[in-house]
Amino acid sequence: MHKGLIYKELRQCWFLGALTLLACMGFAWWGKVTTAGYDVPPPPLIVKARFWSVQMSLDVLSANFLLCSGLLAIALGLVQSAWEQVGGTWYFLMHRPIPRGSILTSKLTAGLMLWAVCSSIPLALYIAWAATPGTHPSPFAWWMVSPVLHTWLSIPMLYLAAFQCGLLPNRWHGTRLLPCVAIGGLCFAMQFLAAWWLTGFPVMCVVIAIQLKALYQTFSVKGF
Amino acid sequence: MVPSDYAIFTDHLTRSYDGRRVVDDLNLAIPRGSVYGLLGRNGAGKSTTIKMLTGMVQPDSGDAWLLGENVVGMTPQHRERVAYIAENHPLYGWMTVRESVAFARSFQTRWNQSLVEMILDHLEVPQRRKLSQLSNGQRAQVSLAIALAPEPELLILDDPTLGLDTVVRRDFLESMIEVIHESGRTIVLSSHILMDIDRIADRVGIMVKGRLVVDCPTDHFRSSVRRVVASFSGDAPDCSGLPGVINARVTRGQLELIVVGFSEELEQAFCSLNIRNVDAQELNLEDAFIEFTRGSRRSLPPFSMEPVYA
Amino acid sequence: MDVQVDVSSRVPIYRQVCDQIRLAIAQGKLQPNDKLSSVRELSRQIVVNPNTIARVYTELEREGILNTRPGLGVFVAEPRSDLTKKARREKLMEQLNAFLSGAVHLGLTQDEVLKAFEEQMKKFQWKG
Repeated sequence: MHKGLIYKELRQCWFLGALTLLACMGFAWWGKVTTAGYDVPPPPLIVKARFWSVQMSLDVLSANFLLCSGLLAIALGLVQSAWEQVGGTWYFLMHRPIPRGSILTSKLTAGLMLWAVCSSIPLALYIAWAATPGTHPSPFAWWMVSPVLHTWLSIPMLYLAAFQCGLLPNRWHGTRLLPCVAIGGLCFAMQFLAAWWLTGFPVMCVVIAIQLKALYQTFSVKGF
Repeated sequence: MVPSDYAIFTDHLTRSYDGRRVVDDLNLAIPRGSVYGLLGRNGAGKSTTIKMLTGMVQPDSGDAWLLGENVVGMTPQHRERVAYIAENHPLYGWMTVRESVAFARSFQTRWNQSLVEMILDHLEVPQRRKLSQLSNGQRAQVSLAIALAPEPELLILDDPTLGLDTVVRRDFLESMIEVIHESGRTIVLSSHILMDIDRIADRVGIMVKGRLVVDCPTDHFRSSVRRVVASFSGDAPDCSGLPGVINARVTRGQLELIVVGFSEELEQAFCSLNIRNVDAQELNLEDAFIEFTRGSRRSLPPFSMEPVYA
Repeated sequence: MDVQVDVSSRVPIYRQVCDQIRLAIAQGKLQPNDKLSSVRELSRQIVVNPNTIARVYTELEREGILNTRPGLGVFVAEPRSDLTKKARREKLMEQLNAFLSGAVHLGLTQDEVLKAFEEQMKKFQWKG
């Protein structure tokens, strides 16, 4: 790991995090308007219903926060990998006298840090608000949060998939994003698993381990 | 031959893209302390060669050594002794000059900051300015300063003067001359501006379709390629098979040949073909290069690799 | 010392510099015992590889036109000639013939050549 490189990655990508926070603020505002007036149409991007949230207070808004979190993960993964190609900065970066693996570790650390901070803030605030008694009429129990938490925890898979996509040597086709779509589907599907910590979590760990192995492998032999 | 005697040594280096051999069985041996100009037309394989030397591209087969160490699995310590400037001087446009220098410095164990300041001050590069706001020439200087600061033993530059105007190119060349003054340092640069190579390179290598067809001192190459003008009687004689002739044409009743290595054998052939008033002119490097590579659609004649100085 | 390099010329840089130093000495612009620019200075000034300049100095030293004083630099040598009078005359004739045949082929008249010759002679520094 290299501090200078982590700092550089954070500086290069902070605007994506800021954009995510802005989007979440926008959704929160819309959520307030829609719950207060009931006749204001919901924003166009909003996910209208979620299967598991029939009784849940954290429904539409948390789904939108998760959507933002997922998009941030994809954007970060692609920017951190494919953007170095613009202007040929890979050549500059890869000739720095540190091991290749260390370059990748620094990039991933910075990306995951930025993702974790920017996507957890809105969710944490929302959950805190929902858990505080007296702020709203519907009941709250901690188990209602778990599906959101599980989905959020599986989003790093999406980040790693996007990073891998950005490293692929082929030209820019839509097909290049296929791994992202597949992993996205997996993230979504995993929340339906019963006893997540016993089933979903181990699956996730295995997938992430495979992804990391593949990434380091690709990176160590990659031509630029 | 021991690879460590050379700053750069390659052994049958080969790389294909889409079935086309971009670098074909390349054997380079660049002596330490020399300034080596790698020439070739677009697509001749210069850039791919340089990328293989710096480990950016993996060869299909063959090996390369920099400063006596194999480039496969280049260690950070090894990499630190080699400076590499890729085409177009890649740096991050959103960083200021000062930030770029600090960023590059954070990776290095050796760093000569006063050298960086000297280069940037001398050319009045504004250090607070972002890279994206600099001119091409200023960016090239920043890139050179960053490459030189760790005091590398070997400098590999991929077309460093590409896209620079005449005046800025001169500034860059002047900086290069300063670099050359550090004795013992090896510089390898590819370029398409032959005049620059003529000024600063003591050896040239010319690549044609992935192969190294010339590898010798610059002056030797220049003096070997000649334009021969002669007169003839009767029908135009067929000169294409004569030793060293790479191109032959008839203009205004005169025979014009491009010859590599004007030999006695050739003179005798001229006699027997009744070719008279032979005048062999030397060419400047650019013309020599153009004539040599243009005539190369067929296989090129063997180019004597080392001259014999009197 | 004012040296100009023309990279588009057919004459190699190395020979251009040699010729210009020889000419400067013959015309008296450089006098015996004058110090020349160092390899570094001249290389910097005309933006040419220092090895090329070093080769020029070595070559001219071999011809006896320059000499190196260790630790001091490169100087213009005292004129001397190892050749006998006869050999020198032969060499002169050889060069004159080449020069005159060139002039004839250029289509110049005898008067024109003579006049130009005299004019040009004044620019050089002659012995005695």
